[in-house]
Amino acid sequence: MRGNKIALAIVSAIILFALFPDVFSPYDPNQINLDRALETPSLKHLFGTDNFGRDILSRVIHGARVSFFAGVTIAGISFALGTLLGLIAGYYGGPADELVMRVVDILLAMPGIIIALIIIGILGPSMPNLVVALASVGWVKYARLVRGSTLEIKEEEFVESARALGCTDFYILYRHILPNVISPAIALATLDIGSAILHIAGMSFLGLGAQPPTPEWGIMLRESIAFMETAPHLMIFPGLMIFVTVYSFNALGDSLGSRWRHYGTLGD
Amino acid sequence: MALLEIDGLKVEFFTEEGVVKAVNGVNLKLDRGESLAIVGESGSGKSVLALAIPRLLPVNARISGRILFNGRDVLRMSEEELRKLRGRKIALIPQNPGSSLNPVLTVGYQLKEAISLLNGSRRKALKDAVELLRRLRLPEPERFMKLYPHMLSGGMKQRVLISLGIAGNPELIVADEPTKNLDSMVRAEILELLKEIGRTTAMLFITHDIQAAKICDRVAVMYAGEVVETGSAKEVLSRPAHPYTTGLVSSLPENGLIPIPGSSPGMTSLPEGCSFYPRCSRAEESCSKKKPELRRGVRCFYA
Amino acid sequence: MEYLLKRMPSAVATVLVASFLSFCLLYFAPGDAAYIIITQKLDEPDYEAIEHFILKNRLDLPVLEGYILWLSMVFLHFDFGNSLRTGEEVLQEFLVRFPATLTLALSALLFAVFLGITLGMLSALKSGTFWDSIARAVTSAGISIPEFWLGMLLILLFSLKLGILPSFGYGSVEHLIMPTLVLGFHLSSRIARVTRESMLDVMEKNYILAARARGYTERRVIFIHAFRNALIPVATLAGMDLGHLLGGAVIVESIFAWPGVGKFMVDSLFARDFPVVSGFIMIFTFFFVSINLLVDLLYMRINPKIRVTWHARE
Repeated sequence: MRGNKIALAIVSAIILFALFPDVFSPYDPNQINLDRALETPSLKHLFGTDNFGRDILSRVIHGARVSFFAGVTIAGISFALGTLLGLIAGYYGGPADELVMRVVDILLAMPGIIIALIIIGILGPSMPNLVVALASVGWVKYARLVRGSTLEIKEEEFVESARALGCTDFYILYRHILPNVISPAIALATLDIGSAILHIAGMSFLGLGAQPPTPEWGIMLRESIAFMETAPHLMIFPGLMIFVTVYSFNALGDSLGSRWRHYGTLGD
Repeated sequence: MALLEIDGLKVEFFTEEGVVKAVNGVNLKLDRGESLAIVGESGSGKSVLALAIPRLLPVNARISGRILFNGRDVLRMSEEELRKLRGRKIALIPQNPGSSLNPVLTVGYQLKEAISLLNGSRRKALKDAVELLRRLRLPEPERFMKLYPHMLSGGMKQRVLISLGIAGNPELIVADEPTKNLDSMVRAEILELLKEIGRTTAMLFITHDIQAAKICDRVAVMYAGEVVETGSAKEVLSRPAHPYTTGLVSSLPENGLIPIPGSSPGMTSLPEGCSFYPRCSRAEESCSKKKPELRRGVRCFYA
Repeated sequence: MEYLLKRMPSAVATVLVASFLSFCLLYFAPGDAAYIIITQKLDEPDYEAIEHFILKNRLDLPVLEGYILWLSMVFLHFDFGNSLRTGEEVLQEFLVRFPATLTLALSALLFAVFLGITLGMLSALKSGTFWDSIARAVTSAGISIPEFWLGMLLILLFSLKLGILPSFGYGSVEHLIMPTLVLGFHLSSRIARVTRESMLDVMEKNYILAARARGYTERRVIFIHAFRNALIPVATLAGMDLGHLLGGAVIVESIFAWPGVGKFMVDSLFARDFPVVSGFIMIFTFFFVSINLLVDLLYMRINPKIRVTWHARE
């Protein structure tokens, strides 16, 4: 599908920006240059400059690094923790399952932002704390997904035969069950990166995540509010970046999800 | 004039794996008030035939031939004309009562809907619905109408489905495998009901169970998309002519449960010559070269 | 109803956990809250006042005791303490602002449901065509666009450039329009997607073929037979997504200076007004859990199948 090639291209670009921001940024994102403040986009400054004269394009590119790594970390931790707990809950059942599901229910019963607020409130606003906050809520959907798949696969014959052959539980989980339940989880993770980036930007926008002068998209948007009327370009580009990035991750996640749905959960 | 006349019907499906010839040249005739059983195994094309008559096949189907209902070719009618036929003149009782009843509407709603839309009597709808349920021997009709489909047993669901079919007083009923998956006691009851309905209304009874065919006047046996034998129910069941029919009858429990060797052909690769050739005990070399015509009710060189 | 009783324990557990977390927030808040607040007020530390403050807000007890005490205050007297900034009772502050948030949330929900179902149906019925592609692009955008950015764009366009809508404030319908759009857009996109998938799925079902076989008009088949079935997963989504909605409200309220619970809570968080934050979280969770329970009960009513399977499971 053509659309997906574009999404893939964008995601790759974001990853490149995240890994090598200095290579792609024409200027130092934090360099203040007051006599070039609030310039509209031009050939010298493709996205214009902000109220401190900092080049917006460079800041946006560095912002990709912040958002991407934070997003991947959140999605990664959620994925790992959620998959692990889901496997355990699904496979062993009984008290382990009960415990995990209770926690899941409670976490689901409270709106995520509330929990994030609590954690930020206790730990203080910063990017690492935000990551912790979002990850502590994020693992839940993986746990549910993986637990469900595990419950289904557990009943399959090849698992029974493996057990009859005397394989250890760990072996069965690792070699037989995991490969079959992991695909939808990976698709979810891709979608999750997009959603994590959105949340990071949102919380930072409120001032509860990254702190200035970090070039983060949410912060940039917050700072642009004062200049909305006089210099709208300040708010257009960071927002556009968020939008395009999340859109692409979502598109990728969607296509991964439907591709793996076709294959079914039992491998090839 | 016959009520229903099917002339050279061919139905093909275009799929990723190729063209599937589900129905490969079928000729049938049905008179008013007559009941005809179409017997065949899965893949014989009988259900496709059933769905073709009210033109309810999926979009990837290509139909050729003629289906004359009261002299008019169904395949050449407009969508609007067809819609008026369905339910009122030609009623399909679909397979699978479990999934053929709308789960969020009560039995009563679905019945009253059918009656008031197809029979034109909105005011009497409730009364007529109760009557209908009574006729189909469903207990406590008034209470029954308040139930949802998932609360009913398989037999009850089938009865509701049948009552929805006859609600419009159709001239032709096409019953698609109405006794599949029902246990034997319930099956016998449903067959009784159908027999009774078949006495007054023309009925096409699709089934895989050759024994069930005895409730009908005539029988047509289908194999690999073709009719291989037709005749009166009594005749075909007691003195089957085609080897396949013979095989079907012998495979009945009371006759020894003797199975027919082999399996039915995949519908994408029909052989030249007689389609039953690979499994036929009476086959000769020549059977595989030329296709037998339907002569005197049998499609076989050696009957 | 027995269902209610069955769900009570987990609901209560949730509220308790939330309360404990809220209390932890209050107790473990960074920086010496008392010191900071008093110093801010008086420009120089008055240790007596700080002492007094600590005692008054019971910040000197060990965690568990403090928690029990706090819990009893909350449940027996509905006393969450007082805002450190305004001096008013926390519960009061909440109740005063709650109508604003509720208005916003409900209006966004209604908007989202209408727009979402419409888009979803359009997409499903015209599947594969131009309209479908447009609808799907719009919904994909809807779930990817940051709410605050959308809000800012709308403000830029409608308030600053065109001047037809107010950019902040509360009180009239015009004030409600943009916040509703912003808050509701995301949810409407999710609803649209689920509606589309669900509808496409339902249209393939046997009972739809059966309805067509009875010669019902296509209109009837779609809107009476298919629609109701397709809506079931949508209702589930709408019910579950209350959390998202209320969460998003926090951001939307901040942008549009909508005087609701969310905005006050965030402002309080920054001002280190922790009694407010923890109190609000507590009250909020309580409402949230109750609403969820209500929604679940409602859901059981409209979906007859669930009712029976639940009873059957017992």
